[in-house]
Amino acid sequence: MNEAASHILAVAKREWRAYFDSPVAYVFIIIFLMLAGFFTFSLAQFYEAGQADLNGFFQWHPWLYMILVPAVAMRLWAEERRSGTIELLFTVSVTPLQALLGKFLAAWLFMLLALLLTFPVPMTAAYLGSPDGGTIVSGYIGSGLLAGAYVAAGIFTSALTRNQVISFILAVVIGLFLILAGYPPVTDLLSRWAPTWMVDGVASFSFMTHYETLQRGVIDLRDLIYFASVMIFMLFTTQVVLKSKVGR
Amino acid sequence: MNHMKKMTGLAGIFLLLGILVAFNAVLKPVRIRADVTEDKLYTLSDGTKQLLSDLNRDVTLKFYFSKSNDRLPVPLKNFASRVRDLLSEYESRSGGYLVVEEFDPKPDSDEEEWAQRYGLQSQTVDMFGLDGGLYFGVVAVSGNREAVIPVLSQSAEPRLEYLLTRMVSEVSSERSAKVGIMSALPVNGSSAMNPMMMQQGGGRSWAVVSEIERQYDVEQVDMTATNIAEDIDTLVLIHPADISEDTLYALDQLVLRGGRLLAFTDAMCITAQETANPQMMQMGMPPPQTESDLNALTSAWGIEMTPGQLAADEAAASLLNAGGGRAQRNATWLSLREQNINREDIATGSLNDLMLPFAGAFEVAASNGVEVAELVFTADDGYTTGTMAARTGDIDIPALKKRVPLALRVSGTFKTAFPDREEGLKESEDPGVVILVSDVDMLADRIATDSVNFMGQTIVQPRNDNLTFAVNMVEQLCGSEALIGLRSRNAFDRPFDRVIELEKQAAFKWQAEEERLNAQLQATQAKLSQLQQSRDDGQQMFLTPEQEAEVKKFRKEVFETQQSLKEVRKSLRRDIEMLGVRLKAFNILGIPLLVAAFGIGRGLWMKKTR
Repeated sequence: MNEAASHILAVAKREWRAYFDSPVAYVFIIIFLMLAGFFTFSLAQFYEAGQADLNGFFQWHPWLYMILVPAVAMRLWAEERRSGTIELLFTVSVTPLQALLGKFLAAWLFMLLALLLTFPVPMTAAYLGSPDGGTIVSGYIGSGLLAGAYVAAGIFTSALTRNQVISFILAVVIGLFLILAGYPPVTDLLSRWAPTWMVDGVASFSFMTHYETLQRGVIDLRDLIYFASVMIFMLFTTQVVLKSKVGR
Repeated sequence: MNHMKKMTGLAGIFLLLGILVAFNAVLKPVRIRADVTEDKLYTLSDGTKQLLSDLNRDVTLKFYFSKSNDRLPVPLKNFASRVRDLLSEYESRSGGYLVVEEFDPKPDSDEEEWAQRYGLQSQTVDMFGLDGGLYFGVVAVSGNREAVIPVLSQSAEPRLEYLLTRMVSEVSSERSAKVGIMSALPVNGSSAMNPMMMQQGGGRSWAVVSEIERQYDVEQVDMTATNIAEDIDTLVLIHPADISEDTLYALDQLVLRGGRLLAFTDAMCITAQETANPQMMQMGMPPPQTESDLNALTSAWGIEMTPGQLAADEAAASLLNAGGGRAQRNATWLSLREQNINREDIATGSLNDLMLPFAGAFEVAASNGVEVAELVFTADDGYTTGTMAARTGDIDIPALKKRVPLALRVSGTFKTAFPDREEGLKESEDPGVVILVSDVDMLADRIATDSVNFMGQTIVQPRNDNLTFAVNMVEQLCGSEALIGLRSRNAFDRPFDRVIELEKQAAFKWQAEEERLNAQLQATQAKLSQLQQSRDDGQQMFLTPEQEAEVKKFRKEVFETQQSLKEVRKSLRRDIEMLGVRLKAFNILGIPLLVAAFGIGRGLWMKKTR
């Protein structure tokens, strides 16, 4: 068990360093922060709205992650498979599951770092008025979990193909589905032929309903379990894909 | 072999998906959650918890929601699930006395018939109403008592707990609340003072009285009553002019035995004057008493209404007809907005437009064991002024400015105002509630309503929130203790205090600058007229060349002053806009620049060490 943990950590460290040894990580963080700032201050008109809450900030995260997380995750397996280092990785007594968890951890932590660097936004709100600290914390928890779910989906598509572009596009499509599953155009389409229980079932798959509760300042066990379920399912599926592709 | 492996993998994926979906579905009814908002916006308040734990008879909450309607928008479904969550919270806190049942009233089903029988209204979901209606409401049933919310809308969410708690409180007692109405004014339309008015169609009850009668069992109480019936839960007292000591004592005892009192008194009641009968005044009868207060009763609790003084607020001043087609702002005719109304109180939280003509001013000293909540008040720079000045509109603004309370809710353990009387209660056994309002005219039809003639029929509609205010107060007093402490869940409002402060400072600076420039203008003007008068050749109509030059100079000065005023305003606005721009730049560029600098630095360092 201890050995497994150290293997996972070793892989995570290796991936983490890989991010920061190239300019990609910096460029990614800069783009993420600038887009988050631009969306919050220009599109959501944070200052003009005059309310010391972060609704205008958090509301864009699902869309930001949808585009940016696949870019972070697409490299994770596709690159290893393209360059053939994947076989090498598994020969050094690291199991696919350990490697998977390590890579997931590194990518998630990287996203969390990017998210943490948005701290000037709550600071600005606190400077201008008196925001609800509890809601901000639970908003960040929601956003962090959302990032984790996107990372898991990105890892899955990265394992599916050697081509990073295809991995990226597939991950965006999955992300889009998970955002839109609860939206009227989608439910309308479904309700033409599917029974109500199925429409409701699909809608409950959507990130948005669960994310919204956390944005309001309510940490509900059901929402935590939902995000955990998405991550577990995506990682398990990746594991199955890896096993079948690598043949181990 | 490989094919076999793939199949097992695929089966595993589907198995896990099934397990996770089932797990999430099983957990759906489980409510374990933490409300981390500062004001506990999503947690039942203590009042509701108390009411639920005190329940001693079975109450059923029937939740009607057309969930099988495929066309419902998702936000509505999400709102319904929040309602469902809240209802189950009620159920879990009631110690088994409260049961929640959910019904899905499909078209032409028994459930739909019941929903209609309870008075629930079907709403259309799409434009053409083709996809069946939506029933979305709650019915509370207990014994032979019933209460209903016929339509739940998302806009009612901040008041949802209040609505539900009120229903539970209403059905959990055997009889409906009884309201007594006591007034020196002809609020029921039967003006004993003025038979003329009855002939002129003045026989109609005030709209506020009709509204209370529509909802409650109402009994008229005589202004000279020396005993108030035990079965009256809430007494509405309107303008108790010339009230006798014995009647005051009856009110005192009503409050001490736990009866609720809603009193409207006034330092200057214009309605009393208007309803007076000129014939009777000609016959030497005394003019109607325009002043009323309950100080003899309320001073025992530390509250008094200052006689002869009216509350004034420049920011809430109304435009009044000053005769001769002139309009004049009058700071004692109060048009009150959100900032003058307690937003946190459930009974006033939804109000935003009250009109109080010539309201009196309360003075709250040490509150003798009672808690005083201000429901309606002037701005912080309000003040009081005499009734005479208020009438003419020539009000001198005093140096002493403060927030003047206009409506108070007093709750707690009351002490008698008549300690010398031998019989009767000396102190209330259970906590009681009294609401005091410093204006009577706000209830009069002329102020509170608009009458519109529509195809020969007179339709009375509210002109402002005055009626709602009065009805909400009665509603709150008739309900259980739980309703009084209930907060409005409107505390979502968190304005930018710093920007507001900047705006205030800017306005202050601007005012000072404006005053300075105006003084300059006046000085120039005075100089001009002095020049004009100094001409002693009798030709004052014509200007001498030097006067003309002066006029020119004066015009130029006026123009320049106006320009500089504009500049001042612009530059003050600039401060606020600049703050916005700075914050925007800091947020969009600040950290990215730091990250870039760090990345470049690290890159260079790595190159060097390699």
